[in-house]
Amino acid sequence: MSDAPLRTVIFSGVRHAQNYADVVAAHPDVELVAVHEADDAPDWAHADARAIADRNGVPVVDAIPDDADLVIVCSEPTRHAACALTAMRAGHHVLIDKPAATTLSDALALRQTSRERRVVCTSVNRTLLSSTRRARATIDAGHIGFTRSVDVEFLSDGAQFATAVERPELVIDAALSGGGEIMNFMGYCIDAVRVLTGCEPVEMFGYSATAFSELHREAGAEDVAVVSALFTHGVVATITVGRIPAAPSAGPGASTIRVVGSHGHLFVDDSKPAVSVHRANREYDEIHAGPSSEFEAVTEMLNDVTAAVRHGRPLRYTIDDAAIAIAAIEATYTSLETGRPTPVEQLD
Amino acid sequence: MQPLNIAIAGSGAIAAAHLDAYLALGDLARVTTIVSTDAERGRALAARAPGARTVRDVADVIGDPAVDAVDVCGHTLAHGPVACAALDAGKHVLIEKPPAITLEAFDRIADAATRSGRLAMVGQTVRFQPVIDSIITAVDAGEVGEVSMVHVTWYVAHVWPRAWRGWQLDSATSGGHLIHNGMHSIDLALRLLGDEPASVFTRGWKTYSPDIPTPDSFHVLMRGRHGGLAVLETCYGLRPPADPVRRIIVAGESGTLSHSTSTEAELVNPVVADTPSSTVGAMTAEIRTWLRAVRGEIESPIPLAHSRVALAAAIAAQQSYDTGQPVEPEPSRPIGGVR
Repeated sequence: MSDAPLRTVIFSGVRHAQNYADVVAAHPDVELVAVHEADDAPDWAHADARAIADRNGVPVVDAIPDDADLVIVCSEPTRHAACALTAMRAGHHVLIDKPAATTLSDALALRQTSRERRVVCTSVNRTLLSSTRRARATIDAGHIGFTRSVDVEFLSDGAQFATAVERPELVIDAALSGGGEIMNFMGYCIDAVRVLTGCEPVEMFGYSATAFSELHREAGAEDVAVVSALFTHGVVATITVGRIPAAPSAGPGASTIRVVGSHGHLFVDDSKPAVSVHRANREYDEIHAGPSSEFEAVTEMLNDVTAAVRHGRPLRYTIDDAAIAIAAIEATYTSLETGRPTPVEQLD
Repeated sequence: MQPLNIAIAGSGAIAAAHLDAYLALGDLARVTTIVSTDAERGRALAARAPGARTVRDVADVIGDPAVDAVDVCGHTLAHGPVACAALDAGKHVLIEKPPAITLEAFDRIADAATRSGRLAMVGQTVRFQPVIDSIITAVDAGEVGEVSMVHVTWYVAHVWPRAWRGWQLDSATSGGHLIHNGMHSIDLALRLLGDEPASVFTRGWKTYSPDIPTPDSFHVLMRGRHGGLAVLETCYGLRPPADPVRRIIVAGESGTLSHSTSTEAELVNPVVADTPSSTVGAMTAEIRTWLRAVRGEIESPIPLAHSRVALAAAIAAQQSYDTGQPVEPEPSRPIGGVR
């Protein structure tokens, strides 16, 4: 395959589409050529697609062009799987916004189709961030011994809900989101434990609440949850996810990890390194050093996808990984319903 | 003002720390008696308190009208009988945490406090650490509005003096690690949430030594009756000695409080084996507060009713660890007529 930029289509402009478009625009190996929306999508989704296309100077197309190399799925979460399946069945590689699917059965369908069609299928994640990779390298080098426990906290800033989320319904209306903030964020946390420990989730237990957001309360969606997870080899994890009025970070959210091993411990903070700003009016802020972690994550994914498509290199994060995270999310929701620890379906 | 005459029941590490605090407080109190079944250890402690004597039997203290108050240390099973006897004899009591390993034992203490009209306070020392005091003060001042989520990370080294031996390893005596040390973060979380737990879930594991008969590490999830959530993760198994790690997130309706010891971690090491600045002076502050409450200058900041809720949650946490299932703690009950 040539080294020409991958011809990239954004499928649906509903969720995070501009964020992807920004990363694509800055990446030398991919090129946005069009925006597409499904015929049966609602009018507001078509309007979103038009807006993204106009903003980025590309056309809206009725069908994904045959010569498109990569399709980035940016629909509402409950439509992720259908959009990605359509693209893969047409022979296109796909990168899906998170969560890759909102049910395990949909995730498994994606995995199966990816294998059958021999196309790349992956989903946005944070395991490729340099902070996580450095932690993994430290663990791999034996510096903390056998990993015993991981604490992952992913808290989004409620004050930025209006700007970071295109429409609140995309997070709180289960028909669009598939769930609340567990569905929205917990995949990141499962991914983190897996990549740092090499262990797989086997049992989940959680408590959730709608403690902070009136919009979540009206929709019956959880805005925060605390989760206990058991992984293989006795590794345990605590997971705290949600959207709180003020995330303990200067950025749009706080993403931190603590790992304790038999011979040491380490911490990860995705908001660092940062430069502190102390203003004369006593306001305090931090400027993240380098691109945001969200920008870095998608950039790294595009690096991986490009290498996979051009040179057949294996992805570091595939739909197989995403499916395991979704299995853990499903088990967590089941635990919330039953009030009992719930086994995670083990995938072959 | 006359100093209060104090008897310390116990001569272990915590009793020694309590004695240090009394000595630091000068004329507020005078330790007159050390109760110890280990005569040598008792004499060693008493030698540090001018004029103090050592007795073997707590009955010698109970019958001594010169003793105003009893500071109940020693292993947890002994707390109840000593505290009840002291209260019934008209003495005030400070009870080292955990106050008991069963609610029945705790209720006997509470009933004795009600009968006597004397002050009984559980010594939740963590409450008096500078950073915890600041967090509680900020919450009470409404800095973040109503608190709905608390996340406490609490890792300490496996080396803590005179622990991991004897009664701490014996759940029949200590109640188990979730009660013995789980009380610290459980009490704190419930104080910050201002809520009673409706359900508690625990996992425990062994970080440092796979053969230790009690989990040196555990996490506790709590859901409050009003919906507040807490995740409390504790590890008493860090490999480096003198390496405490604390991170606290308190999320409220209008803001979030956060604290991390990361900025002082390098200042706590085997060379500078001193208490971190965020926790220093807690025992002295606790004893000073208790003495002031005994004198009626302030209300006890740790009412027995709250301590009962915290103990019920810790017992539920231990049961959850034992069974692998969530446990609903015993509901609270009013404790009338206590100071």
